[in-house]
Amino acid sequence: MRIIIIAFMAMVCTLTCAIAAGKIMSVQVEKGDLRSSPSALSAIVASVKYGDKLTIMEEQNKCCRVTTADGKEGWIHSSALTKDKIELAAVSKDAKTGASTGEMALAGKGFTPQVEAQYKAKHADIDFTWIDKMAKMKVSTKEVLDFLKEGGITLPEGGAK
Amino acid sequence: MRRAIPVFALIGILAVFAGCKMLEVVTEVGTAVGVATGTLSTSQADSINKTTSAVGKVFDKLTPENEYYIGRSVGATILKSYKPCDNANVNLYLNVLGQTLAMASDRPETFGGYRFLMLDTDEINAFAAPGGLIFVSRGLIKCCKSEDALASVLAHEVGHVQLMHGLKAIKTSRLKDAAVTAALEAGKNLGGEQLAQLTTAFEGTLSDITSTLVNSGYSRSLEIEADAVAVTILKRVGYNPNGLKEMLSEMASRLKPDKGFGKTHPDPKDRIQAIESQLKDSGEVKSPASRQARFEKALASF
Repeated sequence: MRIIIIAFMAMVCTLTCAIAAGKIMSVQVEKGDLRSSPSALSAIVASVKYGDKLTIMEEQNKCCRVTTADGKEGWIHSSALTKDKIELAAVSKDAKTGASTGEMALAGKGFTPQVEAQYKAKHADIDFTWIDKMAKMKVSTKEVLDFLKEGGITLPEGGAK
Repeated sequence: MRRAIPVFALIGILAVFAGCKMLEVVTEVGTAVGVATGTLSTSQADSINKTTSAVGKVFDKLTPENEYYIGRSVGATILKSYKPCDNANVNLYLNVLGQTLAMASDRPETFGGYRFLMLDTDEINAFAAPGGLIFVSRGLIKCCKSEDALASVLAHEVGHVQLMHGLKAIKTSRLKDAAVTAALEAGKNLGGEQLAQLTTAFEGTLSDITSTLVNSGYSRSLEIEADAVAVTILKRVGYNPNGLKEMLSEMASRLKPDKGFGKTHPDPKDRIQAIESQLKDSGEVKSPASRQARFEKALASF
């Protein structure tokens, strides 16, 4: 039984963990940072955006060393990437007509700003003011580092990836 | 049946680590092993694979961008019932703490990132909308005696986002309609009927999730999963995971079983029992003076 479980683990790891070097992956988050080392607390060396295609150079502990189309290099967590192709279209935020006049957004398929706009138009009683305020509550790497230092928190080995 | 339990457990554990898109592959490999070793019958394996396939297909249709827009509207719906706390200092403290914890999760990157907001209510409650919008009530924050305990509350909610528990509340029938599938796949500036169909599917999706978050709650097993993720995150960052036990003990003494958290979450004593084995190497929570001081300062401001 133990041998079967070990073989099972190995099989699943092969299926799920490895991202082959040289593979092209797409950024699946709105905005992402490339960092100088495989740690969320290392220096930011470049920024990437939704749909950008990155070439995988290597993977360490769920972080990928990547290069951008214009030759910038850095590390990003694999949860920001997808093997799926992301094709973005300029979609209208005009809820009523969907016409390409008015405010536009680059979006993928499915539930996008256009659907949200249509939903808002149908549900005027639902207020997004605080949701938009939350989107602006960003925290910088320096704020995190200062917070950890002030609180006497020492990251154990393999802490923030 | 006793021999079958490790196979079920293994499928569960690996599914968590593999993520939703790999759920079907992992499950099929797992059930194949189960059948080969005699721990599962062929019919049991088929049943598990069919169920997992149905769940997997709902997830397959949703991208992190879709999850983000679902989460925004779920959050806005929650704020229709709960007033947000307009206290910049407390919300900044929650965001620095919460985003520090999220960085150490297995899913540090979501489409729009993790954000935290205090709800202006003495009810003990918290909600994690898909994609990373997390709401914690003043009543729940007051159950925390230390930053380590508050960190455990936020890490538990990050766990729900990491494991995509909100999306699991979407009924499997919701996105299976052919017209909805076509609209989801269209990837262009939608208009007319397609946009209307997709918006109706969106409304149903929001209803499934908010109903689970506010009324029925997640299953005991999903809550225990989120607690396990919380312990992992706390250890990775350097907080004492006994903060979770400390908070749950305090909650047990304050909670009303028929309201808020008490209605939607398992008994805190039950949750403590489930995580006990993960805490055996951790001592009592003893925060450094500077950490305790900033925690008390944040709490004193509301």
